[in-house]
Amino acid sequence: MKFVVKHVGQSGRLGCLSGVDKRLGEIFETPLLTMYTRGGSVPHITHEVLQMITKENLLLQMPLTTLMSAYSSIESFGKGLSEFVGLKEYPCYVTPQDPATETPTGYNVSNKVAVWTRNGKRTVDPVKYMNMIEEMRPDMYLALCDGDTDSGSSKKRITKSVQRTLNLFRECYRHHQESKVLINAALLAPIEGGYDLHARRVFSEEMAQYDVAGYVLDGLHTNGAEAEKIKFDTIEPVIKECLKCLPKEKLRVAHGAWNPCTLIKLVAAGFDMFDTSLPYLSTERGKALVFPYDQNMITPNTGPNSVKNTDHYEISLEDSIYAEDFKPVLQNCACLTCKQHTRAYIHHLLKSQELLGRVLIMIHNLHHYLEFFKSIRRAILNDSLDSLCFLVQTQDHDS
Amino acid sequence: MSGKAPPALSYRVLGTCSTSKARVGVMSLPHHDVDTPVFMPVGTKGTIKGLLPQQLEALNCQIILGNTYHLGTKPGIDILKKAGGLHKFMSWPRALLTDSGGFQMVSLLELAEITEEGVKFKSPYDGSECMLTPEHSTEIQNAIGADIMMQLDDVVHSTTTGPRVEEAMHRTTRWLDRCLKAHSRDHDQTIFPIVQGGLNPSLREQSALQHIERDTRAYAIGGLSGGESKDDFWRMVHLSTDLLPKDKPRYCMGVGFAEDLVVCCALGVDMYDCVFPTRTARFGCALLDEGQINLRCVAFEKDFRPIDSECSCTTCERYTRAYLHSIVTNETVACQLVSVHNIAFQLRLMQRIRASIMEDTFPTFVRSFMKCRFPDSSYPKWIVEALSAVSIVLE
Repeated sequence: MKFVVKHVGQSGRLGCLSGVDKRLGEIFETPLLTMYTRGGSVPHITHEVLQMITKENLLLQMPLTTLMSAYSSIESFGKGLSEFVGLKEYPCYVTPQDPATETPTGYNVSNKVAVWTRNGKRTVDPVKYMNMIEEMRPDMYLALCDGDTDSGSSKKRITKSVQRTLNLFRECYRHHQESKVLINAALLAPIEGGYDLHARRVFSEEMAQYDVAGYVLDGLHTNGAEAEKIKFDTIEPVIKECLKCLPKEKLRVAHGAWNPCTLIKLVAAGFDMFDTSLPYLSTERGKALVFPYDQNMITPNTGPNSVKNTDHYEISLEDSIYAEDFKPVLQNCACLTCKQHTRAYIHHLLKSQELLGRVLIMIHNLHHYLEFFKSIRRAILNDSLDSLCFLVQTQDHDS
Repeated sequence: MSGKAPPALSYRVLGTCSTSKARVGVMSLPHHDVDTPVFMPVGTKGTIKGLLPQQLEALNCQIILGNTYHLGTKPGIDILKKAGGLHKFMSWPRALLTDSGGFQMVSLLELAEITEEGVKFKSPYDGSECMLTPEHSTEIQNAIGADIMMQLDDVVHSTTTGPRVEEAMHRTTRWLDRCLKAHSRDHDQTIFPIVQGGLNPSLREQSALQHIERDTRAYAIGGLSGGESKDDFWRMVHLSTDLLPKDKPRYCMGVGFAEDLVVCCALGVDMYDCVFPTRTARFGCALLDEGQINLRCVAFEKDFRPIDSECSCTTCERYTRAYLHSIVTNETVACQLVSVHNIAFQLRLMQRIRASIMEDTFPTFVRSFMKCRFPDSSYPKWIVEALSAVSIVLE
């Protein structure tokens, strides 16, 4: 897999990923939204429905935590992860942890990382991890790491995270270099160091010396909904420090359920790849994303004077105000849910605990985020990420 | 002057089996033409197990069921009326059938009491006394707007005996008259009367004859599939289809196991419904000609075949038993994938039945199907007897 930066704007950059085995000759434009999966499937979305959402190329992000219980099946299957999960046309990207689920903290030990599966805790060392990676044959993967830090972590914890991750990474790296199976797989290196600028710099400088496809900014949060609350200001110094030391031509990844505003600022800072944790978490709580990402989504009488509220990028369809609301989730939205179904119907499905409720919201939320990313890429080209950031904070939906 | 609008239901027999009572027909409804014999998946609350309307259409599903009791409670009739009926509310362009709501009340609510006026029950929400009368059931079903509505009937448990059965049978006829009278949309909705009479042949016969007198467009056979012996079950179906007019569709309520469908088709039934195929999918049970498999079983951990290699549904096309085993009961996707297969299985079974009737090879189909389902020829006695009653001999 190959990454090339195509255009560097005033803020943000455009690039493309190519050389994916399963998609020869096809490219993924960055900033790229990878599809978060659980147990190998996009949550609530079968292959048949995925085709109705988009026919685009998708890079499936597969957390080991959600797959490890099925490892013996994957191993005996022997044709790799994508084909095992019934999505062989799609390349996959494996990470040790699940960006959408909070990782219990305090369970990593010297050279073993805790992987929380549905059957409880498993510990994974680099040998085991790399053996599993070889069997799963991902197109891209993140090395095993101890990213168990957040804004509240002690210096001691940060030191451990850094030390352990360096050791884990070196073993994974060595194994990767020797592996015949992983020749075409892209290895990503984790960047740890919590919120300690010095630790971040030292770690980044170390990682910059390895021949990897890119870097994952890890250790800013412990996954799950907490990431949503992070304001860009609080992580900006850390990000600047890391990016200063890392080679500019490599892929930069930031996982987690960033709120749309923070995400745009990460793009502006030069990040290339994200995941769909936020659309998923939003769906799980019965909420639909409605923030505007295009000037046309703003009605003229609102716009500059309308309410600004960074927390209101979604509406809660379980709210009884939608019981008799026969409008689509979002006016003029071209997704299958909005073209065919009403807020009232989805409200009824959620209230009746019917599966279709979350299917319909997920269809909308994924469509919304995929379109949001197209808008982000346009904005980089037009040097208008600032106004896009302003726009997504405009609360224009009637809720 | 424009021509007379077509009736809300018209039925045409396209082919019959020269041995048994099986037949193929097409039932034209305002929203869709339905090929019979047909299995109708149940979408209790205006949805089927996480499947989009597009997926049901892709499965070639022509008609589905909604439950009046559940829909009347949630979202409620007001909202359904404002939405313009259930078709619009759930965005389902094809045919719909609603039940009367009576059966759910009697089976779900402990405190239901049946009087001549209707079904009296305590609201499970606020404990207040409510009454579902034939008029009220009809009014609700008119608001829901399904192509087919069911009369409110006096349901007794299928193993009940004695005077209560006779009372219920006669009351069902009186309630039918009240439903027909209250019906306000006869131009685009059809009420099905329900033949009752428990397991008593003479009561069944009286019930059928009374309903036939009303000259409705179709008939249902009710009060079965409730725990009676299969021996009683098939005899009641056989007796009913002997009496009911051949030029009208017959609907046997609550039937959905594959062998029951095959036998009832031989006995001349045209329509079926059952929650089983979709309900069982949730627990990881997938349907096959040979029977069902539970994908939770560890035996499937390394089984890389599709659920059914004969099946061309979107699940079998792409997903293996091993993969389904790895997500079943953990990811909702598994429930949808198995539901797609199970509905495809039911519909394909009906399609095979129709094709064999049209080619007049239905008895051969029945024999090979039963052979597959009971490989050591240990056919249940009731199946052997029911089939031999319509001259199909299992060897």
